[in-house]
Amino acid sequence: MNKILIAEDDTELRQLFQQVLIQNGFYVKGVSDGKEALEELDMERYDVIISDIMMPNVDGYTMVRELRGKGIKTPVLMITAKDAFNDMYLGFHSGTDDYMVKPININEMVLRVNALLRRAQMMNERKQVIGSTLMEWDSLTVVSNGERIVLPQKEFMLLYKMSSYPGRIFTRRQLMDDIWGYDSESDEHTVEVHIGKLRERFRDNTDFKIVTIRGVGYKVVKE
Amino acid sequence: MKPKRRPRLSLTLWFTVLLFVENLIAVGISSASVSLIISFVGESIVIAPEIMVLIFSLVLGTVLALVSNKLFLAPMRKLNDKMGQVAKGDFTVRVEQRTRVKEIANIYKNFNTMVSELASLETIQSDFVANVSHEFKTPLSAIEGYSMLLQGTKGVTKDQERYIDKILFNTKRLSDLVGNILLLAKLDNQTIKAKNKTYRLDEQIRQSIMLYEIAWTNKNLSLDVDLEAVQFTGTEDLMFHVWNNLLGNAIKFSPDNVPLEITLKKNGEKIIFTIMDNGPGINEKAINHVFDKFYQGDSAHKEEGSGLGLSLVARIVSINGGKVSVENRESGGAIFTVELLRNGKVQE
Repeated sequence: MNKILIAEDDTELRQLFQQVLIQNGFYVKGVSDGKEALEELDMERYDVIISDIMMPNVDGYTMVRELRGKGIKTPVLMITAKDAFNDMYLGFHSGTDDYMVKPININEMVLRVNALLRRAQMMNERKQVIGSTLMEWDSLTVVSNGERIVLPQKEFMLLYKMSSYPGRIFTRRQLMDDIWGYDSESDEHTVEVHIGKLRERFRDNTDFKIVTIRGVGYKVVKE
Repeated sequence: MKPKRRPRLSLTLWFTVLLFVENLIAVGISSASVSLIISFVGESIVIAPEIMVLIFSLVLGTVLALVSNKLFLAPMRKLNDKMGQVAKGDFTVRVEQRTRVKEIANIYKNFNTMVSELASLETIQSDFVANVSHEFKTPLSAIEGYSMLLQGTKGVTKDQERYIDKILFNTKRLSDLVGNILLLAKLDNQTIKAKNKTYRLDEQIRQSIMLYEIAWTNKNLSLDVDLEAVQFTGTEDLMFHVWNNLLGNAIKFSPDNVPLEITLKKNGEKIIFTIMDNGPGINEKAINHVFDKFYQGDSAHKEEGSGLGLSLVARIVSINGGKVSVENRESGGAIFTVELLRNGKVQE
């Protein structure tokens, strides 16, 4: 059974989330601030952490940063009332994996928790599966239809990254920053070129498709 | 009739006049002293008395000028600079110089106190909005959550599901309303602009588009997005609300299966953003009031909004030195245009 830790200072919400997750087959433990969360995580292993940002003693960001500093890679879903733009960036840079804004749609929360679990598992095995296509990180290989194709590093990372969040749009700049790095000399056009190459390679693949949202970005969609 | 304003002269001018008069006095004193010395000692000892007087008064004048500059003028200029910075929103400014003039030392002390008070006031205001928002949204979240749980329970009737949908719909309204009211109240009471940041405006708009992905895919709107890469200096957090509101509105008023065009272009120092929808457009009578608080022209969509969104947009855009306007398109639908300056300075 998957174990979830909830860090939320409001009793009503904490109980609500616990209720929802237990009903969906998870084992749930609730704590009321970042400090308690860190103490709990020192003692027990969890599969997903759901945390509010605004909490007394130790807030959400600080808690996650400390966690990542200790090398704990447990996926974190941040829940908050702040929908400020800055906070989204802060969150993702301090090591959170996903983000939800209050009022929380609890059905969506369950979906996201499951998605985080799937991704974590795939990251652990350094493999990813879409339909019947397998991607192996360690060998930069994509296996589909019995064929093993080794991709150039950037192309593979691009595909792997987008496939680990199927349906999510990535802008060219985001991909640039994530895969080429912030200080890269190349410009965003490079991303376009690589996407073009990937499309060419996987033209006949029936498990996924790379979709362009003109002017916005790209996403990988399951077929 | 308004009284005529007396012209203000600069401090430097005052001092120059003062020093000139003092110099005249100094010259007078030195000539008198030299004449006195000559009358006692005899003319032969003293060489070119006129030149001596000149040199004497020049030296005296220069010394006086340097002293007064150091004691008064330079501190005034420095204080003036610092005050300008505070007026732009920088509350980390402090004056640390030491001075031998008691009054100026007091001015420095009071200035520093004043600026740190302003800083804490700003924090209180921001924290207030964030805290109250949090306090409101938390119980709303609980209401929403339990309503959803109720929806999922076995044996729930069609009528009951409908009632629960209504509960959910209204909690969302309340949540949006709280957020908007608080932000608007805070902005209304603020004249000093919040911290500026230089960032990619086009990326921010893309983030907004992605945030609303579910909404525009549900209506199957075909997005036509053309954003130039633009660096902008302004209040990043607040500007995000602008795009969200405009985009949210455009989607709300669009029927299904139509295009939605969004553009961002540079024009010298100007940045021009447009969003064009294919909805019903705006009632001619309403078009001048659209940015007023609580104004809702379209009764059909009244429940979905609060009438605050656009006034929030107008306020934020003007804080960033820009303007927002709306027009109806000949082909139907509305086009909202936001004009900004790249460096966010106030437009004349």
